Amino acid sequence: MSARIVPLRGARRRRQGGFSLLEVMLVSSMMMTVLTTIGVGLRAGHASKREMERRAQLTVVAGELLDRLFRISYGSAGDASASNSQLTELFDADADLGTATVSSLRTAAGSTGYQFEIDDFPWGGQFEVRIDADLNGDGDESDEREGRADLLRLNVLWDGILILESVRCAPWSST
Amino acid sequence: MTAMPICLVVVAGVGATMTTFLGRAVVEQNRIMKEAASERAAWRAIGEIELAKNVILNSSYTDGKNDVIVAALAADPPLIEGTPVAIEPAGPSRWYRLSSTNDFGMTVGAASCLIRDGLSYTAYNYYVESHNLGVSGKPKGRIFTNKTLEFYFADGAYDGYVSAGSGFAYKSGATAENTTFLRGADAAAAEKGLLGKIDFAGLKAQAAYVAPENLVAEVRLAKTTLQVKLYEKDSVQVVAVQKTRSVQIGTELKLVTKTNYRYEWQWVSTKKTKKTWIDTTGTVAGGGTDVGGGGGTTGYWLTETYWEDVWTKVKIPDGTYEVLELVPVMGTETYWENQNQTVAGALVSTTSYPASGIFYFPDAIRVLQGDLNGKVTVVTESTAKITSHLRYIDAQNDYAYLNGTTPASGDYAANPAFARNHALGVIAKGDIVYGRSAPTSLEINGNFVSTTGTIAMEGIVLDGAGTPTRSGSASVKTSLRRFGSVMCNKRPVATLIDTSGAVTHGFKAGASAYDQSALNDPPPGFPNEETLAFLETVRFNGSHATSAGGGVPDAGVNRLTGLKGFDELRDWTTQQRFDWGVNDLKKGVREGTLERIDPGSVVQRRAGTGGRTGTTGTTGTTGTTGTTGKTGTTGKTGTLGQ
Repeated sequence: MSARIVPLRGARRRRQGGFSLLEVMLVSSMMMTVLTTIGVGLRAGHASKREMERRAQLTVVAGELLDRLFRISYGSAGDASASNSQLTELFDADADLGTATVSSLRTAAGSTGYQFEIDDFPWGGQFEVRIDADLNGDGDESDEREGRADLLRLNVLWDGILILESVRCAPWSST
Repeated sequence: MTAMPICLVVVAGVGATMTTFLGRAVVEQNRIMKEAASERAAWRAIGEIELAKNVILNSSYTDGKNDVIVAALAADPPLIEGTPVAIEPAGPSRWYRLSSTNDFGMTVGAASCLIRDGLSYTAYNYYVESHNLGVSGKPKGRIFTNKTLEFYFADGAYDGYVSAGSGFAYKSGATAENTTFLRGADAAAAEKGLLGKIDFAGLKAQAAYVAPENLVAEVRLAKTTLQVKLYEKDSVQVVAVQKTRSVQIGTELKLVTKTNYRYEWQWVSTKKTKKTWIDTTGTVAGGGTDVGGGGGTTGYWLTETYWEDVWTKVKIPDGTYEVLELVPVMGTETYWENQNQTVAGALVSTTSYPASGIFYFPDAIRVLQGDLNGKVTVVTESTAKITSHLRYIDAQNDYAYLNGTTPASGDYAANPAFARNHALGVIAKGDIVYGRSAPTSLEINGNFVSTTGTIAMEGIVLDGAGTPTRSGSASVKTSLRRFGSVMCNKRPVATLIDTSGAVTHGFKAGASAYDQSALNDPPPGFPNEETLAFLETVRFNGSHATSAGGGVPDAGVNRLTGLKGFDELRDWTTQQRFDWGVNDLKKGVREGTLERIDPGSVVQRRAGTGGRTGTTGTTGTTGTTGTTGKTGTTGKTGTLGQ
């Protein structure tokens, strides 16, 4: 039995002829570019989202800490350093902030303040409350209005990065 | 090449999607960063307000006005010296608004605070200069003495700044552990001398009414009027009074019957006493009154009586006998004695005046009582006696406080129905006393000052050290409820107790609260302490103050009536910046001066352990004219190291 081969014509012939090497290479490179772009974009977007969440939560926590430091009594220069129990009262979950005063939390300019970690804080790290009379944050207390007992700078840091800062002055009764 | 168009479409689609996604992420990131920067700017603005307060607090005063504020108001722009904080008059006399704006990370935060350049004396609940002060209960407002502040009874809670020049003492069950200071305390405060600064001549010059000299006054408040009755002073006349007395006129010899006695040993029931220590810790209910007397112990020795059989020699009657004795004979003699008799002074005049302004009396006020619907300051160069209730009342006959005269019915609390536009001041050189004839549950609304004397229950006498004793009959009353302030040179004593903690004279219970409204609008001519009074600082983030996302100040937002708008304030405050050291959100500390802590380093941690659990949350909306809200709690367990 013999077979007769009939040559194909027009489009049908081209369809059955497949892609050229050039086509395959072009499509492949485009798809690689697309996939790479998607990967890089998703990665960047995800990183950006995490950074935004981190920044937002850090700001909220730091704001909460500063708020507490404005709600407690200012105290006076003679106040002893806050005890462990006073610190716990100040920063624990209940609304009772205890007896710690702002003055009792004061440390020397340029030195480390009171540090602690927050369980379940998704970003880990160490929070630090640093209170000193270094108003402009240059590491000394020798500039104008610095080094006084009635005017203190409040800093809230996270892993050494300053998140929020403010200043509190002694009420008139304490001056 | 038929696949090319398809591929191009796919690539273009994916590219557009990714561009949109990334663009949106960038916008969102910018928004979050702006909010973080805005938060930081707001806290800085609050700090700048605190800085300005410090400058003002440390300023000198000239003619009763703060020099820093006067200089700032005269400057252009009106900034507090050395700060970026603007000041402008706001509302009633002597009130000002401090405002600060702070630019950070392409956004802006702002804060403002209302201040008064003089603190009315009405800010004190209690103020004493020369003696110790004893307090108890849960008084509200500032408490100060130059001497020792004595806390009576357990569980006292002091809702105001408490300070004393010579330390604190705890009596009759009070201890440092069971006494709470809700707004801070200072046991070594600097000495004050506010009473000597009261200018009686100035008050007299401002007075709406000045009484004639040498007449005693009775002042009765009748809502919108004030009735003044003037009397001549009581006089003393010497009167000869006929009296009789018994005298011996002779003797006589009489037969007198007498008893014989014998002695026997018997068991006899004998009355004896013993002393038992009674612990009073926590058993005495303390009110909000000023207290005197008592001791430093938490109990007392009780003398108890009992009977006991005792073997003793007993004297027993054993018949009688008669004997002649010389006895005196008595008679009555009449004689004359000169005695002092008080003659009541005659009424000179009775006049009613509108209850407004200063009423000045050179002599004593022996009756002071009534309900007031107005603003009055009563001044006397002598003494004043409160003879009945002194209360604020409005046009609808509502009183300022509830249960003032019916303490058993409930707390002494502000009456929400009361329409407030009232102020009463009483300034005396001598004592101000609560009269023995006053109601047993007395209520007083007003601000009382005695520049050289005390404010006490009638009959209380103080020695040089301020130790109280009673003179005359005892008068124990149920309750004193007081809304206002008490300032005096000597120790105020509304309640006198003995060593057992029992009230022997004055009021058994009480409550007191200072009048916060009188800070804003004190009684006429009432003096001011040369320091700053301020309301709480309020803040508004950049989202309030700028167009959304643009960082451009929005001129119409947060503009208070009669005050400068945000844009003008910002123009002023940007002319004098405070150096915070860091102006880049991504840089935590001033470069080169403080080292960044290695997160993995435990060397930086102080001894102890820190653990914290809980949740933090934010809710609320931000927008051009919206509000920023924050709720949620931060929790922590464990012990914090230091």
